[in-house]
Amino acid sequence: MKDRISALMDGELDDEDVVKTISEINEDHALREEWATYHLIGDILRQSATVSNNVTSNANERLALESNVTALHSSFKRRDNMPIFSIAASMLVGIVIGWVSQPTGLLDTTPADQIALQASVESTPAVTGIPVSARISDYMTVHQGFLSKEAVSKSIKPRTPRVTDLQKNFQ
Amino acid sequence: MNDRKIDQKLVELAQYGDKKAFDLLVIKYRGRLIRVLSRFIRDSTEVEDVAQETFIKAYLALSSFRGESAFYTWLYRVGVNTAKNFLTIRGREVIDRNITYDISDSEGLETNNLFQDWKTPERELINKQLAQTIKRALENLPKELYTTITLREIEGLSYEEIANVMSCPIGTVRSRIFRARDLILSELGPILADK
Repeated sequence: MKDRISALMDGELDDEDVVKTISEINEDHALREEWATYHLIGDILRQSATVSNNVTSNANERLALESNVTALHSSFKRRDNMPIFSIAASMLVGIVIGWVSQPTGLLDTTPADQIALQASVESTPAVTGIPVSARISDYMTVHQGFLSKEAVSKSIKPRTPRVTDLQKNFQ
Repeated sequence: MNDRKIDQKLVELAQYGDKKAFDLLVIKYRGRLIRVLSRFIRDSTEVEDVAQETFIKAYLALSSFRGESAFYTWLYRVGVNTAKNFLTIRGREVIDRNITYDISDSEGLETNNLFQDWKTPERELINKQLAQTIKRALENLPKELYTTITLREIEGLSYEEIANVMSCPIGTVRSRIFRARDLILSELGPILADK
């Protein structure tokens, strides 16, 4: 009987068994509990997966936006924008991994998410040994077209090698 | 019989006065409806209130449901409209918690009982325990059961699709899904007994 309840909730029960099974569930309190608990299990599993999918989806949207912004700058023939984009992407992926690792849900990632996340991480060069302030400075540099000159001059601490490279690239 | 047809069957029974059949629909869709409503309303207690109102409205309007769309699609619309009305009322600062519907027709409907104990701290604790227990039970499942139940519940694959993915008969898929649910259910036993 439990086997039929399981199949019924999945919409996989044969026609002739449906009415009979529904009738039996209606008559038996214990069977109604089974019906409720099976659905509860599914709800909790899906809820956790939804949290995980939302994080992945949001991250993809932000990465896509980031990609568009960086693409605009390619018209300036900057040769070093890809590594800088990778820095921003790496930071974002790090945030996502940290978020996903939080014990907030039952299944922090689905198998599909894990594969996608792994691919993201593998395609993103590792950033080590660069101070955070330098990374932010690089990020501000590549996005300076979207900021006022005053804001840029206040935000970016000049790092001689980078500025020199930049000047060469714009010549 | 597919999922939509089973819902339609339950709706027909409810339309003929079988309130227990409608309760099965409430049990089936309350979790999904609460997730939808949570996008509109942040407060979990208010979400549950709106979910309860949605099911009562749906039951009272069930005679107008002709099966042209899936039951959940129809319920979703009722839920979203109920949430919008709720927010509109709040926006006008007419926070009237005494909004009443003529629920005399719904006497005997167990919807109220299905929601009323969700709001207590004790209930929240039980929900946490349930989630943790389900997680542990899932992790302890044999690999083939874990994969099968995950493909069904999270990826939403049909038995036939799972059978193709796992290269096994449909009957085996059905059996594995049931065994997975039953093993998880046995872990939940002590918690549910305390409920």
